[in-house]
Amino acid sequence: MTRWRLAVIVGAAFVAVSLPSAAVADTLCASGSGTVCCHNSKFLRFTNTYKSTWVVTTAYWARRYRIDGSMAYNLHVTGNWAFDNSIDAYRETALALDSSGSFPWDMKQYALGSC
Amino acid sequence: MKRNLLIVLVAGGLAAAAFGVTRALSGTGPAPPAAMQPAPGTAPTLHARTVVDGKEWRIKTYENAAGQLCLFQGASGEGEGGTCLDRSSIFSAGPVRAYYGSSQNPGNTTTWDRAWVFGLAYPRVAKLELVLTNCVAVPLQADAAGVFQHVLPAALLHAGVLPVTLVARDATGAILSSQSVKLDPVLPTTQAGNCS
Repeated sequence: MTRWRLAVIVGAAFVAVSLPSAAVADTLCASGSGTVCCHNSKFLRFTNTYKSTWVVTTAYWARRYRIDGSMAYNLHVTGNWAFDNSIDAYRETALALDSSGSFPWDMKQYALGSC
Repeated sequence: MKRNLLIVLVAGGLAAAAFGVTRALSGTGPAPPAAMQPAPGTAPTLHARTVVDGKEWRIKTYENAAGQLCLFQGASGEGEGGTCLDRSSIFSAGPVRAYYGSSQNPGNTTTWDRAWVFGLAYPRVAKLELVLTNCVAVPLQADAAGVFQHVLPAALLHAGVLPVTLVARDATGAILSSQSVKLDPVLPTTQAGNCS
């Protein structure tokens, strides 16, 4: 195999790895789960995000924050919820429990491209 | 030349496949569960379309593969949020399943720039009213599928007028349910009126 053919193969492999959308649709950028109690809040971290998902079995506020502290999304829901912004934006997914009890929670945020 | 092209295509394909497998095994993929996707051959139905502050708001309903009713709400350029519900449990807590929320423009943490109430009403609900902090009762119209939506414009919100209660009545005017739709957190802006 000539040197330039080897270079072409390495180059093609590099391009393929650099384009994750060609291999998978979403990138999981942050996730968390546990138990939340008594009107407390839980936060993931800021990443590029297009989709957020929440699972809480009681009433809660599903939220997405911008880096400046403003709320891009704030909705009172119960149970599973998903929010899709179609494009990647730098967001933090959060929840605030609307109950005095203790409940399990799960949140995830995904990017279309890199986190 | 053809042989070189073939080498490039094969190498690229192998690398992409290897990358996908690696991502899947590492937990960064694949995509979220498809449980909220429409069932094959199912087309979403649009409801309650309204234009507020130059943006069209609408609700999309469809059935997923599990036979649940999926409900997604959003505005053009604002994204959309929703869930899928077992049909038998939609009205388990009352004759109206309501969602309510709000959002802010970038850089604004002192007021809401949009707020909305939407959901599903049981067929027995003949009249829906959204009571605001200025004591105005806004009539909401559920469509044939029971879907309703109301979006408050920025001017009203900036004046401190916020949603307070969603009231459902039957055909005789009797109250079937009355639920709080107060926004949280409470922002420093003074609320207009006191219909709480």
